[in-house]
This record gives sequence, structure tokens and C-alpha cells, in this order.
Amino acid sequence: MRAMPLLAGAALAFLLAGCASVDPAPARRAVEADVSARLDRPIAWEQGGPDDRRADAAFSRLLAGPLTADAAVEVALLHNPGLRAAFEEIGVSQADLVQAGLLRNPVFFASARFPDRPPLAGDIELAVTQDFLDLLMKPLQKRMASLELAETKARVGHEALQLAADVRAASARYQARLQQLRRVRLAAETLEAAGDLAAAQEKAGTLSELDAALRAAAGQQAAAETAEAEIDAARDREALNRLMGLEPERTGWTMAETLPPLPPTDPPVTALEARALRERLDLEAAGLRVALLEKALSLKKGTALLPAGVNVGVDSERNPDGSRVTGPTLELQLPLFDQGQASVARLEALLRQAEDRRERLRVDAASAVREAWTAMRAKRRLAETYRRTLLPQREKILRLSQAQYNYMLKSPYDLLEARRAEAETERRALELERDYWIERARLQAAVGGGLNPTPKARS
Amino acid sequence: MKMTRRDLLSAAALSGAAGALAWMGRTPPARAAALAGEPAPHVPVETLNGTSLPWTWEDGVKVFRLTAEPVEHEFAPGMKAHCWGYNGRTPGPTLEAVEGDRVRILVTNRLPEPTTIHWHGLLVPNGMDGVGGLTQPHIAPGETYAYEFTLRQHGTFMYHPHSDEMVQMALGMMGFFIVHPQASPEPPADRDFAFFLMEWAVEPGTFTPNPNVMTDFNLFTLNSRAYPGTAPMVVRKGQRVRIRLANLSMDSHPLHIHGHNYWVTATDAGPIPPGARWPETSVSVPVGTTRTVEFTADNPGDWAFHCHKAHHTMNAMRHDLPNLIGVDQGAVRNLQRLLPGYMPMGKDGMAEMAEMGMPGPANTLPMMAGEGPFGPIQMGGMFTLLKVRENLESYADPGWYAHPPGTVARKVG
Ligand SMILES: [Cu+2]
Repeated sequence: MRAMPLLAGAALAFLLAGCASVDPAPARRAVEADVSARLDRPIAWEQGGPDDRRADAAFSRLLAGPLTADAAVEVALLHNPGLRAAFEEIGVSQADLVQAGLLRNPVFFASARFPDRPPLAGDIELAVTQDFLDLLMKPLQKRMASLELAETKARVGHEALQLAADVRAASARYQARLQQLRRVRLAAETLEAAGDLAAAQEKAGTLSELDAALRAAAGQQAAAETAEAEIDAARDREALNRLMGLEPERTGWTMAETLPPLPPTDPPVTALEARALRERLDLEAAGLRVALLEKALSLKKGTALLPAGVNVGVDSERNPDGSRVTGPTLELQLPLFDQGQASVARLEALLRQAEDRRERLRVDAASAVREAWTAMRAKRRLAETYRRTLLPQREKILRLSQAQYNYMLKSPYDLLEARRAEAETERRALELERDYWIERARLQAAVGGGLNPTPKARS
Repeated sequence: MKMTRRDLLSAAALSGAAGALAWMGRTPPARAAALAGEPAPHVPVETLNGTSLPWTWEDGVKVFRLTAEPVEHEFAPGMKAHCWGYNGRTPGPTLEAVEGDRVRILVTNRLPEPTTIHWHGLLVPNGMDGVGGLTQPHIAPGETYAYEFTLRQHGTFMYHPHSDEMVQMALGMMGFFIVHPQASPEPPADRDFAFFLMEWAVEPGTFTPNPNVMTDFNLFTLNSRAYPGTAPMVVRKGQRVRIRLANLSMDSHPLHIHGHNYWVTATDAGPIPPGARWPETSVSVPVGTTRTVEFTADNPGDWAFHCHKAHHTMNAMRHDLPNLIGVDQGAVRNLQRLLPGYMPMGKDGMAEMAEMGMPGPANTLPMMAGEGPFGPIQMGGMFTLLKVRENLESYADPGWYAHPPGTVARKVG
């Protein structure tokens, strides 16, 4: 038993040397800082502490005013339960890391044997054994666990950025829908007004019942179909409610009813492609997975011929004669049958798979950047054509139609039709601006953050 | 023979007709000189808003020079168009000569395409008839052709292209060819007006007549001018007035005079024998003919003279508009909100449009216009005035007629 303090001392020294806390807060804060920097927005997640009140206050403040896309992103990052669940994985990985640092508990062995004839003193054996291999493996296991934690952090960060992109796209969709809805209603009203005018003509005896009915039908149909656009708006709103994770009592928010103006310029695609490959968090996670498997494989290979277990201990036995025999014990599992070949092959396959997955992700990431960028540029050109050329053209057409009407060269129906066409052009222009913002959000997701120059802080 | 203005004035005093010409004070000296050289006195033709073409004597031949060319033409203040014509105008200048004259007309083509001139109603050698391809080669751009013949008739004739004539006439190429009689059996007219009747398709906001239109014309003109761009006939009471009307449009035009009746005295085939003439208040001028009417202006006042097809006294209008007569637009929801600046029109007729004075399309004359002493005249197109006055110091527009007391319709209820 004198050996016990010695063993305990060794274990304690080991634990102190590789000390790891179960508190996930630092890891979470690191992810928070990284995501904040990438999105260029200050984000504070609930951590289960005094900071939570700060986060909650921010959340309430954001929801109180008309939401912008950025504000909606903040709300979603604070409140989306799916993201919160993802965050808990950091806690899990953190705990795994601590677990990896803990020595396997020593095994205490005791036996008492009694002779069937005198002398009747029992033979009592006490032993403490500790898996020696475990002790050797500890540093390696800890390194793997910390790789795993890093991978989890990257994955969670990636998820947060994807969520941000989804929220941005959904905000653009909803904002555009609100604006478009006004145009859709206006276009319907022009047809309704034409229907009313036709009814007045019929009443005055200058239009047949048939022609009046044709006009009335067109007006009523357009009015009825605005309901479709209203359904779309409701759907878009619910999409945002889901992304922001809002409870029923918090769904009364309002949205800023206009899309922001297009930014003056877009960054060049080559820089963004390079950034995606350098900075995307899912790529980082995939890289960490490869590193992890490489480590596991080398560990496995390095220990393949070692005994599967090396238990070293102290055995103390008191003989029936009263004398005590104390001495070290060694227990070996001999690698006679299982020499780890299968485990190595499995790890090798997993490693190749992880490498392939990382490669696919790289190809996809670069492609997604190019695709979103090209679409975004095309939508910008179209949207600008609408703003600069087609919309002024429609306004001009309405003005010129009005001038012709003044000289009795156009009918009120012609004016209403010109107004309808203008509203329809406005609706289409908004659709294109919306598409620009959606493609931009996709591009942000593809690049792995904002489109502004490289984030300042990295975890 | 060269005359100064002073010579002209003394020569003019010799005849009443020439005297009237002299104090008009707006006859080009060249033309006056030419007319003064005439052996037989005759009243020069007044092509209102137009002119007659000066000529030169060359070896006993009267030589006229016509240049076919694109012209920038004003239909009325506020509306110009890219037309084709002769010597910078549409209708081309009026050619005046005397029965028996040998005339040579030098025609230069400055159009972008070939042309010819046909002398409508004149009895000429076949090779002078001006039908491109049939009686002569087409006159290519840049070329000059000479037509030469002796005038064996007198009357009101026309000239116009016979080469891509549909296009060239639709763009304004036409003119009068007036042949005065050697010795007229007719009582001489004191005033001799000529009006070319024409219709055009100039879409609102456009600047070039559309030759493709066959029936739906929107501009109707006297000497290529639309009211209120038409000059009035200013006449002294008691003057014998002759009006020559020529029509190369696609519709007939019944020209109606107020306050007088006329006698129809001639067609483009010559004078109607006196016993066969008939009185009219509206003389229908069929397509491709001329009509000459005469009357004594014995009824002082401002008298309307116009085509009696009501659409022909309107300027730009569309003919397929919905009928809004009696339509109450107050029942139409959202109209004012959808169309800011919209004014309902047409419920109680269309005259209100003439009074609103709202901006219209570019280069477009309002459907009806003209402001008279008693209010808006609400006319356009083939409309002008015959102004008959007791005393006249010149043939310049004397202003509105001063009605003798008790001779104007009055409000009694
Ligand atoms: Cu007419």
C-alpha cells in the first residue's frame, strides 16, 4: 500500500500538467468573436451568465424598431434555436476534451483466501493497478480531442454564417414582397378602374354589355389575384419568423419597407474565390477532420504492436503465516490475434474519405462563389437597366400618354394601361433588386462571411 | 422690260384689276413685272399662304424653273413637318401663263428619288405628259428636264409627280397651273383666289406625313395650311370673287361658303357654258379635279369658308376612341389617385377640350382651335374666313367685323 501515494501523485501531476476546464464559454466566445468579425456585426450569444441580460436587451431592442436585413441577422444569431442547439456541440466537444485529459481510474484488487486446515489465518491480497498504456496515450488523445473541439467550433461558426446568409436572403425577399405588393395592388386597381369606366359607359349607352363585361372581368380577376401576392408575403414573413426563431408573442415585428439601394460597387470575383478557399469555416472544419484522422491513424500504427493493455500495479499479499509480500505486478494483453490491422485499414479509408470530402468542398466552394458572383452581377446590370432606363421610360410613356389624352388622342383606358404597365415595370425592377440581394447573400455564404476585406479578428 | 415700282404703280393705275394688285403691296416685283408685260389684262391669282412663280422670257418662250425638293413645312404655328414640294414650299408655286403662250418648264430633281411632272388637264404632246416610264424616263436625282409646250386652253389646271406619285403626293408635291384666257368672254373677276385641298396623315408627335395611310387622315389643309394657320380672303364689298379649288387628296371635299352663294363656272376641263352653270353653297370637289366658283361679295361680315365634312375641320384627332358622351366618370374608383393630373373629358361633348389649354403632344395641333370675338371658334383643318368689308385700305387682315347695332343674335332667355 505504500505505493499508492506514489501513483496518486503521478496521476495528479499528470492532470495538473494537462489541465482542461469543462466550461465551454471561452470556446463559444471565440466562435462569437470570429462570426462577429466576419459579419462585421457585434454579436453576443446567451452564455448562461450576466451577459445574457445584455443579449436579451439587444434582442428586444432589435425587434422593437422596423427591422433591416442586418438587424434580422442579429436577431436570428441571438435567437435561432437550431443555432443554439449547434452551439451546445461546443459544450459537448469541450467536455470530450476534458474527458480525454482524465486518467482511467486505477483498479483496486482485494482477495481473501482462507485455508481449510490450520493455521487458519487468511491469505489477504490487495492490489492497485493502473493502465500504463493509458498514461502514455493521454497526450495524444488530448491533442485529438482539441482538434475535435476546433472542428466543432469551425462547424458551428459555419452554421451561424449560413444562417446569416439565409436571413439576409429572406429579408430581401420579404422587403421586396412588401414593395411589390403595393405595385400588384396598384396594377389591379388600374384594371378595376377600367372596369368601372366601362360600367359607366354601359350605363350611358356607349358600350355594349359584352364589352363592359370583358372589362369588368379583367378588373375583378386582377383584384382577386392580389390575394396570391398576399399569400406569398405571408409565406416570406413566416420564413423570417422561423429563421429568427421567434415565439408566437414576438412575431409582431415590422420590416423596413424598402430594399436598401444597391451598393455602388461589387468586389472582384478572383479575390473572393481565393478568400473562400482560405477562410471558409466548413473548409477549415474539413481540414481539421483530415488532421484528426491522420493523427488517429498514426497513433494506431504506432501502437499496433504494443500490447493492447499494460497494467502496472502493486500487489500486496499477506500470507497465512502473517508475513506480507508486496511487489509490483505487470499484466499484458498480448497482441497475438488482433494486431490492429482492421482498425488501421478502417482509419485509412476514413482518412481518404475525409480528404475527398475536403476536396469536393473546395471545388464546390469556388464554384459557388463564381456562380453567385456572376448571377449577382447580372442581376445588378438588369436592375440598373430597369432603374436607369426602363422606369424613366415608363414614366415618360405615362406623361406622353397624358399629353395625348389632353388632346383627345388617347382614351382614359390608354392612360390606365400606361399606369398599369408602369406599376408592372416597378414590380419587375423590385424583383431584380431583390434578386441582387439574394445572390449577394449567397455569395456571402459562399465566401464565408461578409464581402468586405478580410475579417479583422480570427479565432 | 424692266420696271421700277413707281412705273408699276402708274401702269397699274391704268386698270382696276392691276390697281388692286398694286395696293396689296405684297406682290413680288418680279412677278408684277411679268404680269405688267401681259398683253391682255387679267387679275393675278392669289394663292393664299403660297405664291406664284416668276418667269423669264427666252426667245419668245416663258421659262419657269421648278425644283422638286424636300421642304420643312409649317402647317400652322406649332406644327412643322418634313414634306416634299417645289421651290421650298408645298403646294409648289402657282404657275401662271396666258392661253397661246409657249412655255418651257425646267424641272430639277433634288429629291432622294426619281420624279417627273404631269400637267394635269393640259392638252400637251404625249411626250410632255410626264408619266415616268410611259412617256419619258424618270428624272433621276440631280438631273434637270425641260418640258415645253404651247398652251391651247385656259382654266385651272394642276401639276404633280407621276413617278412614285403615291408617296410624292402624300408628302405634298403638287401645284396650280393657271392659264388665263387671251380675251375673256367672262366678266372679269376682281379677286382670284386659289386653294389646293389636301389631306395628310401625320401621327400626333411625328414629323413626317405617312404615305401608307389610305383613309384615316388626321390633317386637312387649304394650300397645305390648317386652321388657325390659314390666311383669310380679305375682300372689298362689291368685288367679284373667283375661287379656284383643286383636289389631289383621297377624298372629295364639299367646300361651303357662308353669307353668299356661288356659281360653279369651270372644271379642269375648262369653263362650263354659261347656260349650264349652277348655283351652290357647297361645291363638292371630287378627287383629281378642279372646280372654279364665282360670286359677288355683297354681304359684309366675317364669313366661314370650309369643307363641310365635319371631321375635315378638325385638327389631330383619333377616330377609334371610346365614346364618352354622357359617361359619368365620377363613378370610377381611384381614377384621380391612379392618374394624378387626370381631367375627365368628353361627358358633355368635346368642346371643353378646346378651352382647357392643357399641354398636348409635340408637334400636334389641338383638335379644335381659334379664338373669335365671341369665344372659341373650335375649328381646325379646312377652314378659313371670307372677310367682306365696305372700306378697305389694304388686303391685310382687317380684324373682326364690327356688326351694325341690332344685327347680332342676342340672348333672350
Ligand atoms: Cu373635306
